[in-house]
Amino acid sequence: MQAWAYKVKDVTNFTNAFKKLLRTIKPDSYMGMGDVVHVSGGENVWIFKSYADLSQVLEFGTKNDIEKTAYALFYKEISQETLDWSFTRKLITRFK
Amino acid sequence: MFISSFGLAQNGYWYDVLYKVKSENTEKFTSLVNDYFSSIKIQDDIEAEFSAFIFKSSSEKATHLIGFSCASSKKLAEFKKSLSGPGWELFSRELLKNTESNYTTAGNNTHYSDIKMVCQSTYFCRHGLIRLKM
Repeated sequence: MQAWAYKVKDVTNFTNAFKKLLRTIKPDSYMGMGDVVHVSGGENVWIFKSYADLSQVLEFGTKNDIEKTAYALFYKEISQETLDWSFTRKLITRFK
Repeated sequence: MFISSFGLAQNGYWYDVLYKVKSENTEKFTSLVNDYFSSIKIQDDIEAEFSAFIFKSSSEKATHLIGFSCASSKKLAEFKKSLSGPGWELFSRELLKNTESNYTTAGNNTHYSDIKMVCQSTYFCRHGLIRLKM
Protein backbone atom coordinates (compact mmCIF):
# COMPACT_ATOMS: atom_id res chain seq x y z
CA MET A 1 0.00 0.00 0.00
CA GLN A 2 1.10 3.50 -0.72
CA ALA A 3 -0.14 6.46 1.27
CA TRP A 4 0.20 10.20 0.81
CA ALA A 5 -0.70 12.66 3.55
CA TYR A 6 -1.61 16.25 2.79
CA LYS A 7 -2.14 19.41 4.72
CA VAL A 8 -5.36 20.47 3.05
CA LYS A 9 -6.85 23.94 3.43
CA ASP A 10 -9.86 23.41 1.15
CA VAL A 11 -11.09 19.91 1.98
CA THR A 12 -14.25 20.26 -0.13
CA ASN A 13 -12.27 21.13 -3.22
CA PHE A 14 -9.78 18.33 -2.51
CA THR A 15 -12.57 15.80 -2.01
CA ASN A 16 -14.36 16.82 -5.19
CA ALA A 17 -11.14 16.61 -7.17
CA PHE A 18 -10.41 13.17 -5.81
CA LYS A 19 -13.93 11.90 -6.50
CA LYS A 20 -13.61 13.17 -10.06
CA LEU A 21 -10.30 11.34 -10.40
CA LEU A 22 -11.81 8.09 -9.13
CA ARG A 23 -14.78 8.36 -11.50
CA THR A 24 -12.47 8.92 -14.44
CA ILE A 25 -9.71 6.40 -13.95
CA LYS A 26 -11.77 3.54 -12.48
CA PRO A 27 -8.77 2.05 -10.65
CA ASP A 28 -8.26 -1.69 -10.70
CA SER A 29 -7.01 -1.68 -7.14
CA TYR A 30 -8.31 -0.32 -3.88
CA MET A 31 -7.78 3.42 -3.83
CA GLY A 32 -9.32 5.98 -1.56
CA MET A 33 -9.02 8.98 0.67
CA GLY A 34 -10.02 9.91 4.17
CA ASP A 35 -9.40 12.03 7.20
CA VAL A 36 -6.37 11.57 9.38
CA VAL A 37 -5.61 13.02 12.80
CA HIS A 38 -2.80 13.05 15.33
CA VAL A 39 -0.06 13.16 12.74
CA SER A 40 2.88 15.21 13.87
CA GLY A 41 3.01 17.54 10.89
CA GLY A 42 -0.61 18.63 11.00
CA GLU A 43 -1.74 16.59 8.00
CA ASN A 44 -5.50 16.18 7.75
CA VAL A 45 -6.20 14.18 4.59
CA TRP A 46 -4.66 11.02 3.27
CA ILE A 47 -4.85 9.16 -0.02
CA PHE A 48 -4.04 5.49 -0.35
CA LYS A 49 -3.70 2.92 -3.07
CA SER A 50 -3.15 -0.81 -2.78
CA TYR A 51 -1.11 -3.07 -4.98
CA ALA A 52 -1.00 -6.80 -5.51
CA ASP A 53 2.76 -7.02 -5.27
CA LEU A 54 5.98 -5.05 -5.29
CA SER A 55 6.16 -5.15 -9.06
CA GLN A 56 2.91 -3.22 -9.27
CA VAL A 57 4.22 -0.74 -6.75
CA LEU A 58 7.24 -0.07 -8.91
CA GLU A 59 5.12 0.25 -12.03
CA PHE A 60 2.97 2.94 -10.49
CA GLY A 61 1.86 5.33 -13.14
CA THR A 62 -0.84 6.13 -15.60
CA LYS A 63 -1.97 3.39 -17.96
CA ASN A 64 -3.34 5.52 -20.79
CA ASP A 65 -4.01 9.08 -21.95
CA ILE A 66 -7.32 9.25 -20.10
CA GLU A 67 -5.56 8.50 -16.82
CA LYS A 68 -2.73 10.89 -17.60
CA THR A 69 -5.24 13.67 -18.19
CA ALA A 70 -7.23 12.76 -15.08
CA TYR A 71 -4.18 12.75 -12.84
CA ALA A 72 -2.92 15.99 -14.34
CA LEU A 73 -6.27 17.63 -13.65
CA PHE A 74 -6.34 16.25 -10.11
CA TYR A 75 -2.88 17.57 -9.29
CA LYS A 76 -3.78 20.91 -10.84
CA GLU A 77 -6.96 21.16 -8.77
CA ILE A 78 -5.13 20.39 -5.51
CA SER A 79 -2.04 22.44 -6.37
CA GLN A 80 -2.68 24.79 -3.45
CA GLU A 81 -2.40 21.92 -0.98
CA THR A 82 0.77 20.61 0.62
CA LEU A 83 1.98 17.03 0.39
CA ASP A 84 3.68 16.31 3.69
CA TRP A 85 4.77 12.71 3.50
CA SER A 86 4.29 9.43 1.71
CA PHE A 87 5.21 5.82 2.26
CA THR A 88 4.88 2.32 0.90
CA ARG A 89 4.38 -0.47 3.34
CA LYS A 90 4.48 -4.22 2.98
CA LEU A 91 2.26 -6.51 4.98
CA ILE A 92 4.11 -8.87 7.30
CA THR A 93 1.24 -10.47 9.18
CA ARG A 94 -2.54 -10.20 9.15
CA PHE A 95 -3.86 -11.47 12.47
CA LYS A 96 -6.97 -13.60 12.27
CA MET B 1 -6.42 -18.38 -4.28
CA PHE B 2 -9.86 -16.90 -3.82
CA ILE B 3 -10.16 -13.22 -3.20
CA SER B 4 -13.28 -12.01 -1.50
CA SER B 5 -14.74 -8.59 -1.03
CA PHE B 6 -17.24 -9.46 1.68
CA GLY B 7 -15.58 -7.04 4.03
CA LEU B 8 -16.13 -4.02 1.84
CA ALA B 9 -17.54 -1.35 4.10
CA GLN B 10 -19.28 1.96 3.52
CA ASN B 11 -16.82 3.68 5.78
CA GLY B 12 -13.75 2.47 7.54
CA TYR B 13 -12.21 3.61 10.79
CA TRP B 14 -8.65 2.86 11.73
CA TYR B 15 -5.81 3.66 14.03
CA ASP B 16 -2.17 2.88 13.55
CA VAL B 17 0.75 2.66 15.93
CA LEU B 18 4.02 3.43 14.19
CA TYR B 19 7.38 2.37 15.60
CA LYS B 20 10.94 3.22 14.81
CA VAL B 21 12.51 -0.11 15.57
CA LYS B 22 16.18 -0.34 16.51
CA SER B 23 17.71 -2.01 13.49
CA GLU B 24 19.49 -4.65 15.55
CA ASN B 25 16.19 -5.54 17.24
CA THR B 26 13.98 -5.97 14.18
CA GLU B 27 13.80 -9.75 14.50
CA LYS B 28 12.93 -9.58 18.21
CA PHE B 29 10.35 -6.87 17.59
CA THR B 30 8.71 -8.89 14.82
CA SER B 31 8.62 -11.96 17.00
CA LEU B 32 7.02 -10.08 19.90
CA VAL B 33 4.30 -8.60 17.70
CA ASN B 34 3.50 -11.84 15.94
CA ASP B 35 3.44 -13.83 19.18
CA TYR B 36 1.24 -11.39 21.06
CA PHE B 37 -1.40 -10.71 18.44
CA SER B 38 -1.56 -14.37 17.50
CA SER B 39 -2.28 -15.20 21.11
CA ILE B 40 -5.26 -12.93 21.69
CA LYS B 41 -8.81 -13.11 20.40
CA ILE B 42 -9.45 -10.59 17.64
CA GLN B 43 -13.06 -10.29 16.57
CA ASP B 44 -13.87 -11.08 12.95
CA ASP B 45 -14.87 -7.52 12.19
CA ILE B 46 -11.56 -6.13 13.41
CA GLU B 47 -8.66 -6.17 11.01
CA ALA B 48 -5.23 -6.23 12.59
CA GLU B 49 -2.17 -5.91 10.40
CA PHE B 50 1.56 -5.70 10.96
CA SER B 51 3.60 -4.04 8.22
CA ALA B 52 7.04 -2.73 7.48
CA PHE B 53 7.80 0.40 5.52
CA ILE B 54 9.77 -0.36 2.39
CA PHE B 55 9.76 3.13 0.88
CA LYS B 56 9.06 6.40 2.65
CA SER B 57 9.71 10.09 2.55
CA SER B 58 12.62 11.39 4.58
CA SER B 59 10.39 12.95 7.22
CA GLU B 60 8.94 9.58 8.23
CA LYS B 61 11.20 7.96 10.82
CA ALA B 62 9.05 4.94 11.65
CA THR B 63 10.02 1.55 10.28
CA HIS B 64 7.02 -0.59 11.25
CA LEU B 65 3.30 -0.17 11.69
CA ILE B 66 0.62 -2.06 13.57
CA GLY B 67 -2.79 -1.09 12.23
CA PHE B 68 -6.30 -1.83 13.41
CA SER B 69 -9.50 -1.10 11.53
CA CYS B 70 -13.19 -1.75 11.49
CA ALA B 71 -16.29 -0.62 9.66
CA SER B 72 -17.71 0.35 13.07
CA SER B 73 -16.04 3.09 15.07
CA LYS B 74 -17.76 1.78 18.19
CA LYS B 75 -16.38 -1.72 17.76
CA LEU B 76 -12.93 -0.37 17.00
CA ALA B 77 -13.05 1.70 20.17
CA GLU B 78 -14.13 -1.35 22.15
CA PHE B 79 -11.27 -3.36 20.70
CA LYS B 80 -8.77 -0.67 21.61
CA LYS B 81 -10.14 -0.63 25.13
CA SER B 82 -9.71 -4.40 25.34
CA LEU B 83 -5.96 -4.05 24.84
CA SER B 84 -5.22 -3.78 28.53
CA GLY B 85 -4.25 -5.83 31.54
CA PRO B 86 -1.01 -7.42 32.74
CA GLY B 87 -0.34 -9.28 29.47
CA TRP B 88 -0.76 -6.15 27.40
CA GLU B 89 1.37 -4.12 29.77
CA LEU B 90 4.16 -6.68 29.65
CA PHE B 91 3.97 -6.85 25.87
CA SER B 92 4.07 -3.07 25.59
CA ARG B 93 7.07 -2.78 27.85
CA GLU B 94 8.99 -5.45 25.94
CA LEU B 95 8.05 -3.87 22.64
CA LEU B 96 9.32 -0.46 23.66
CA LYS B 97 12.67 -1.93 24.67
CA ASN B 98 13.22 -2.67 21.00
CA THR B 99 12.18 0.71 19.63
CA GLU B 100 13.55 4.22 19.54
CA SER B 101 10.22 6.01 19.27
CA ASN B 102 6.59 5.53 18.42
CA TYR B 103 3.41 7.46 17.75
CA THR B 104 -0.23 6.76 17.10
CA THR B 105 -2.49 8.16 14.44
CA ALA B 106 -6.11 7.60 13.48
CA GLY B 107 -8.40 8.26 10.59
CA ASN B 108 -11.09 7.02 8.30
CA ASN B 109 -11.78 6.18 4.69
CA THR B 110 -14.48 8.37 3.20
CA HIS B 111 -14.18 7.96 -0.56
CA TYR B 112 -12.76 4.94 -2.31
CA SER B 113 -12.79 2.95 -5.49
CA ASP B 114 -15.59 0.50 -6.15
CA ILE B 115 -13.66 -2.67 -6.75
CA LYS B 116 -14.25 -6.30 -5.98
CA MET B 117 -10.74 -7.52 -5.37
CA VAL B 118 -7.43 -6.02 -4.56
CA CYS B 119 -4.60 -7.84 -3.07
CA GLN B 120 -2.70 -11.00 -2.69
CA SER B 121 -1.31 -12.55 0.41
CA THR B 122 1.64 -10.42 1.31
CA TYR B 123 0.75 -6.96 0.14
CA PHE B 124 -1.52 -4.58 1.80
CA CYS B 125 -5.27 -4.57 2.06
CA ARG B 126 -6.27 -1.32 3.65
CA HIS B 127 -7.52 -1.72 7.15
CA GLY B 128 -10.34 -4.12 7.19
CA LEU B 129 -12.25 -3.05 4.18
CA ILE B 130 -11.23 -5.90 1.97
CA ARG B 131 -10.40 -9.33 3.23
CA LEU B 132 -8.65 -12.23 1.72
CA LYS B 133 -9.21 -15.96 1.75
CA MET B 134 -6.42 -18.30 0.76
